[in-house]
Amino acid sequence: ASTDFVRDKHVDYIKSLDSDAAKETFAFWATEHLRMSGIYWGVSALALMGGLEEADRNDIIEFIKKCQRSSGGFAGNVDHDEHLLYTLSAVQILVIFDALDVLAGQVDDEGKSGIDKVVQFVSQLQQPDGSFAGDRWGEIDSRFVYCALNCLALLGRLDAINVEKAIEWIIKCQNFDGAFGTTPNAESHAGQTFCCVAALAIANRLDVIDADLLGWWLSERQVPAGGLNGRPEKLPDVCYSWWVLSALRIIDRIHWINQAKLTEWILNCQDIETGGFADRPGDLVDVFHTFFGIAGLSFLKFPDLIDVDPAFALPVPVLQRTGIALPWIRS
Amino acid sequence: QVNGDCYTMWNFRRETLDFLLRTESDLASVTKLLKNELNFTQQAISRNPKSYWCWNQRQWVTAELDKLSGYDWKHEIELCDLMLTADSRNFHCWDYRRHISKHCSSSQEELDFTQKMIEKDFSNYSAWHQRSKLLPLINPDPESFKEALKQELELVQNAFYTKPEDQSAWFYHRWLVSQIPEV
Repeated sequence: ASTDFVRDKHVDYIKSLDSDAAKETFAFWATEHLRMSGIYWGVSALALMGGLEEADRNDIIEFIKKCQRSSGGFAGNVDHDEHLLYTLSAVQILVIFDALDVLAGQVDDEGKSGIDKVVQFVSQLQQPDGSFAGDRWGEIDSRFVYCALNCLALLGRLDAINVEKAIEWIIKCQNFDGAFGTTPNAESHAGQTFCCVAALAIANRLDVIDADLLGWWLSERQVPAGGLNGRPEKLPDVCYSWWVLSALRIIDRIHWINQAKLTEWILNCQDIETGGFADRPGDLVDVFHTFFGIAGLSFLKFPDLIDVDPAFALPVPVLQRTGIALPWIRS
Repeated sequence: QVNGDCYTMWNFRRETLDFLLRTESDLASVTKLLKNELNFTQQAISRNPKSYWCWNQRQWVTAELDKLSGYDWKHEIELCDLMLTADSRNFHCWDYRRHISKHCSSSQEELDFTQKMIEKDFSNYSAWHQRSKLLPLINPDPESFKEALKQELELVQNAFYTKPEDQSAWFYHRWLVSQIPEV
């Protein structure tokens, strides 16, 4: 553990995820189904460290193309089924690489571009009550309304869905504590709360939130040691440095937590030998926690990191390039 | 068995079972297939109690069994009782319980269940949360709702006195007080 940020080790760690050695590990294959998100976490972390050029852009774009299914959605890996989660990750990666033209350029027999097909896939997942299913099998979860809004906003196609109805449904997921759950009546959870708050931000409907009430619940995620948990009485985990911090950022209450203590706690989640971050100090690292640890440090204004957008979960300069309005970022 | 989150495999199983359900005319063999899948989901859930995909599969199988020949949903309550004894904060299980309880359990019975959970452990935020959803359902009339909340104040005060460092009661208390202006 260290209070130094071992940037070069993190870059090397992320690059090693694609190595032959990595492909020999159980972890590589146990996460095969979510590879698209794994790549997004890795590429985004590199971007926040100013090291995007270390990623194999062409290789990744070829991989993404192979994962688009005929429905227009993207799968977590080649030969897997399409899902909203991996569709969002695919679009996010392409936006980071400024490569949406790759999709725009692919036109099928009916004259539909790769982008039209993504929009079709996502919009067809919206249910009559405004919620979104993750795929054709119908699981409903607030993660998916976030994926839909983020993805379509990045493509400039929010017009393809009923945003108002989506907001109506999100409101039903709000609980007595001001936070949000997976579905209406579900217990508040920081991950789901991030999804709902970020979706509301993208839809410009933050008026729905009681910021003081939610801010209290979110700030109480900080435990005495400095880390953040996802629900009352749970253990801290570095990924909550994203879910909780981004929500606090959006409602402008990051100052309600002890930022110095959190910074120290996140840094202690590094493995200074191998690079990467673990869920908590001393555990094994993985790329998921690496991205969220770095993103958390970015929110906390740790030096030499690029600003990350709390709703789109992308580097701010990337979003500024796309011209999407970011009202919750104060200049 | 190796990767409970391999969602494409769960999709494949459902597609296959669905095909067999539609093409196989023998009710007994089709029921057996679904019951095998039900057992398989129980193993999957035991190994991966926090996997969305595993709980989804069980939701699908029980719905198919119910369509086919009716299903005794009390089995699912028993599964939830078991899983919540192992981990009283497993939100996948609480969500699943909310989903199936409409078939076989009244709001009052579910409220009684949360009371048992809280008496076992005051820091069960999941149980307090569930009460916040059940009380308005059981007491749709504003006056009886306020009376029910005043009784909740007593319950929450027991929690404070027993375990003042526990957060759940304080969050719940804030909500109660906000609902009863005169308190």
